[in-house]
Amino acid sequence: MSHILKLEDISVSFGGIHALRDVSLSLDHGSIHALIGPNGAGKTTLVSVLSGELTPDKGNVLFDGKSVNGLPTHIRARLGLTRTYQITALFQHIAVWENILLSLKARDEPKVSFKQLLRARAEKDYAEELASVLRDFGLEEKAGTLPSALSHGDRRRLELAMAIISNPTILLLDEPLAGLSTSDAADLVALIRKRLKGDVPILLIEHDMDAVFDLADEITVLVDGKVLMTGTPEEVRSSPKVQAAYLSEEDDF
Amino acid sequence: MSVASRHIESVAVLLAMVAIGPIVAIVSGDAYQLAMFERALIYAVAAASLNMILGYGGMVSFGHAVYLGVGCYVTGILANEDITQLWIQLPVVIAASMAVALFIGLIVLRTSGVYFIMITLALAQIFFYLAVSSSYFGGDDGMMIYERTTLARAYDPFDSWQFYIFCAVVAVLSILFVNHVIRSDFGRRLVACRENPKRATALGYNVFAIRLVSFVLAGAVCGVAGFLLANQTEFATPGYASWQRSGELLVIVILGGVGTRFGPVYGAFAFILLETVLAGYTNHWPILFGPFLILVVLFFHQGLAGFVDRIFKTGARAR
Repeated sequence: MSHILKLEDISVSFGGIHALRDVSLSLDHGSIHALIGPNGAGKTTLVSVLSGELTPDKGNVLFDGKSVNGLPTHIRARLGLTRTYQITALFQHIAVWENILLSLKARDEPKVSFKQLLRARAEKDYAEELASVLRDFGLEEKAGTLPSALSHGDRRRLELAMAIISNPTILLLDEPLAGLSTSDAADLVALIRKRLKGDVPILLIEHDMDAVFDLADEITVLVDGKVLMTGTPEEVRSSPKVQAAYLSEEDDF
Repeated sequence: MSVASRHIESVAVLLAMVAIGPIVAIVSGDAYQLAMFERALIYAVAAASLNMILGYGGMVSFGHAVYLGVGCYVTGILANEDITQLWIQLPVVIAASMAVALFIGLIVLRTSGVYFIMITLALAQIFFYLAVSSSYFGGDDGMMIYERTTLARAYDPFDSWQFYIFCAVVAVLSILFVNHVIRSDFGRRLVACRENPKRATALGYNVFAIRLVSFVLAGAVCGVAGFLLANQTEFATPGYASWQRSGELLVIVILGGVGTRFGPVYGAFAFILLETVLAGYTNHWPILFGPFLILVVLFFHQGLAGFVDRIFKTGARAR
């Protein structure tokens, strides 16, 4: 299998703090690669490097074999590198359906054009797709509400919906289950399994170990900005190094 | 609300506002009263353009009056060179304000928050002092404009009524243009950039480009307001581009209701009316106007537009 995404020797430091040190990682077509590690290990930093929000001090990001170093975030997004945020980032004061519509429009026509100025807000073209998205993600009844008034679980679902419908080539999910109740989390895992697994390559950052071992094809353990090990879920689970560094701490959560 | 009924509503509200001037003039039998309403309409255009970037784009520009100045000076310079035809003046005014807005926008849009406010102010001040120091264009004293814009042989720009109609038509078309942009597909993207630039970027929108386009468009519309102002006052002065004027525009937008379609129009009329009435009592009229503004902000959700909205439940809906 070829790599759709490859990170080579990424290093990032903030002042004297080395957030990431020579991190290399690859993601195969259609697989889910989980990134785990204790708090402060540099997981979110890595996602930010991938999405282009952070420029690494050193290292390469290869997307489908081509370097995307120096490309701004919105260009990477147009290439299909879609991310979700640990803290949900939605258009808070725009109705749920409009959030979704904005994602659909970004997928079809991300660039600014003169046409958009002349054209009234075209909703009709998207009416059908919009309805099906709302149905698929169980947001039908909430279509008219503002995200600021949604429950945390609904917000997560909306955020995931916006990412999924943008037809990503790679999905970066930064703690999609954080703060969810057990049943909401299970629903979301089922959603990822049904809609994405085997289809869209995912880099998954998650603290919920059940979800990670359930979904991931491959796991990388990050500790103090360094890769401790990469392997299959079984290898990671049975590794004494990982248990010492991370899994044993799970009781503390 | 359907697109068509929205357009009808837009036109109806604007025509109602335009009609106030003539009604007052006829009732009082004094055609000079029209001048006050011309000013209100001109301010409404400038405020509408500011509202587009402030209310819908989330960009607090504290230097928006600079385009009033640009529009005014360009019109004046052309007129004094005997180039008075509308079809030359207006495109030149629009191009000049767009160029200035592009220059300012390319710089200020790299910043946000307080820095954005301060740098729009600073750059506007550069143009202000440019006007002050240009002795050729009258410097501090300003510049008399001897000719008003001409349109067709039948149009007499120095006739009060004809000029009012000219002003009203240009103002209404400009405001309709702003409202169209806000309601356009582009307008939706602009609001998205206001709501969450990080998310908009992550979806693939170029937030900088979207903001820049709106910034330049707002500059162009405000330049048209400057063009009208030059015609109305037959005078161009650096004062039109001063930071106080920018502040007035902000006050009008806030008074009328930030991010509402007709807020700037209500705000401009209320501002000019209050200014005229209060200034009749005292030179220190802002001392009375200030508390009024505070009361409006405190008690009317979304300013005067929100108030009107509440009276006519089905009326001007925000956004």
